Amino acid sequence: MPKVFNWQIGREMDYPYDGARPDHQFAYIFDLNKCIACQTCTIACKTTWTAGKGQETMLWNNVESKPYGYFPLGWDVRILDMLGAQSWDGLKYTGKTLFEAAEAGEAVLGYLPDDLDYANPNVGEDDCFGSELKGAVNGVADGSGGAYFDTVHHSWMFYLPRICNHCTYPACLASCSRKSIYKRKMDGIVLIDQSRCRGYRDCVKGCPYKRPFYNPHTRTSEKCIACYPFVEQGQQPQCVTMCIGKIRLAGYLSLPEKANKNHPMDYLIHDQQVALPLYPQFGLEPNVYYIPPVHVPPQFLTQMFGPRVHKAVETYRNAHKDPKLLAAMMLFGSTERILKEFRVEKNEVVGIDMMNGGEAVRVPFTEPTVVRPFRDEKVGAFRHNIS
Amino acid sequence: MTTYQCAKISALAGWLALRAVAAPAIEAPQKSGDLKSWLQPGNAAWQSLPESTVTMLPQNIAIPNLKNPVFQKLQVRAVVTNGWLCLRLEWEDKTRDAEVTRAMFTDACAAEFAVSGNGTDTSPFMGNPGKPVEIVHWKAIWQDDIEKGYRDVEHGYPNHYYDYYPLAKGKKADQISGPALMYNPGRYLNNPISQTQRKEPVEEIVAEGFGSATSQKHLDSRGWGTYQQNHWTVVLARPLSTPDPTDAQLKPGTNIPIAFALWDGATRNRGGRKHYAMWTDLKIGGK
Repeated sequence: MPKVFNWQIGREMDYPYDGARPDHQFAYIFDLNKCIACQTCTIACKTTWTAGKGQETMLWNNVESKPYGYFPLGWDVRILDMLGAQSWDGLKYTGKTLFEAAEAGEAVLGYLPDDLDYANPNVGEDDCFGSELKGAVNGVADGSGGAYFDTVHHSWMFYLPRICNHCTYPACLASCSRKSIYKRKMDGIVLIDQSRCRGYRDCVKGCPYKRPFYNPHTRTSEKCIACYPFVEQGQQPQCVTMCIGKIRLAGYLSLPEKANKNHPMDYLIHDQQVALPLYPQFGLEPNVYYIPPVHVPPQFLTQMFGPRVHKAVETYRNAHKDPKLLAAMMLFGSTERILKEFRVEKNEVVGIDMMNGGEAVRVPFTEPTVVRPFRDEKVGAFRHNIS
Repeated sequence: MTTYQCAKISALAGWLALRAVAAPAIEAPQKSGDLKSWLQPGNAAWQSLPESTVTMLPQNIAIPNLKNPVFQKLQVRAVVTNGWLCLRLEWEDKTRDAEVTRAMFTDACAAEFAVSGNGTDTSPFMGNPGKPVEIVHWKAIWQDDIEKGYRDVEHGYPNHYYDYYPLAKGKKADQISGPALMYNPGRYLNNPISQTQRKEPVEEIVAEGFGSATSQKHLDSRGWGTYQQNHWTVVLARPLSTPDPTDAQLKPGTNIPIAFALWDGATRNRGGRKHYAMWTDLKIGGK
């Protein structure tokens, strides 16, 4: 089997095809400290792409609570359990990736979810892990969690918004015996050819993130298309621009050695390393990067985001001391345009449009405060504080 | 093609030599009678024809493999009538699997012909580059599509509730058309798998190697299947000669290689996860 280099695990690994990186890789950053699970992204995606017949339980974008929320049910704990122990030596992953752990006759280690696994997209919602009542020790829960929020101490949970990771080494693509799945050379977006798919669902089985979904009406599998009609016009996807919490940023990502410190994606992912891939040990080199939730126990975060997570949490906690880092994060949700660079000008951050090179957005570090007089002379009435 | 795939292809060469130990020849004598009656698997006339037993093997050449085979043999009878070759395939299957939901798969069978080559230079494993195969493929769900109407969300999920589908005239498959198909790209692009108005429970496929199977736009073949007493009996019929250059052209009085495949929906067979038979000689009756 060919060897490819996966920078997220710091080593070469097996992959069924020769390595061929796209000219540019489209990527996302989600700040998990800001997500409130309002599901606006979910609905933005649903109404744009998956409102049709056969797509009823299809959520290309969903937001689940961690650690007990899953869609489909148990997607990550099941594959983590199948993969077995996952060990790191510093920044190098020494365990097996899903391609390396595949049993004979299979392209990748995976499983096909049961039908009912798709029945409860909000299972585990707001369910907290650990509490004093449940035997937490020194702030770390003992594993008997699942408690509802019955105390403010030692309990934690967070929201995890998920879409297709448009992986550099997609397991869906590797699994498809039809070769119906392709990764676009121009932007690295991974798509299922809807004229060629025959609904075998090996992509559903192979993707550890369970992002391809079977459509029983068309009898083909479908998945997130990264809103490519928008992206081709220099615009960020629906789930990004519709996010009311402004937790998302999308754009093109360079390889680590070619990172541009003035590009917001490169800067946050490669230079500051504050945004990390989800389950890098799977070996897919996923391209949705998460700023980890800083209040979650480090053991859990390490399993989910890899060994860089401790530094990422520290960097994020100190972001208020670093104007450039703060500036990059203020670009989240500030413009529909895809940015190629940013710079700090006095107390503002300026984002440069990837397509036309012009100024796409200018965001102040501090919004100006306006205090309205108590009496509104225009309507001849006093303003009452009714909010 | 990757080195990995090349290694797989070279492994095929060894398999091709196995044709010599394939099952005894299947005879297709020339008989009278109309096609319509021969298309009925229960037609008593079938019982007067010689029956061959074909050994079925789990597909383990290409990835993904079939891990747990459930079929060991396939009974085949054949006849030539009025310019058509009819094949009657019968196999034991304990469950009738035709409904397709997210985690269910359909029973199916197929017969394979070498288009331009013979049983020596054409791989039975979906053909090989430059030596295509033609496959007549029957699926239980397509049989139900024709007998009961398009098997859809409401059949797989009877208590399913959904308000409405945007831009559609209603919730039934035939009420979703025109602009509403923007949400159903498989149908919008006329993917043969997404056909809701199927005329026959079979399709014809042309292939030149693993992963290359492509539905033919021109369908000449016909078919019909019945399930009784834990047995599927399926008749596959195709004209001896067709106007389609991607079809095998069959000549009366000749021997040709033929291969078969079976899928068991209950154990999630699909695609390459199938039971296959090596090339077998088929004696086409007539002159």
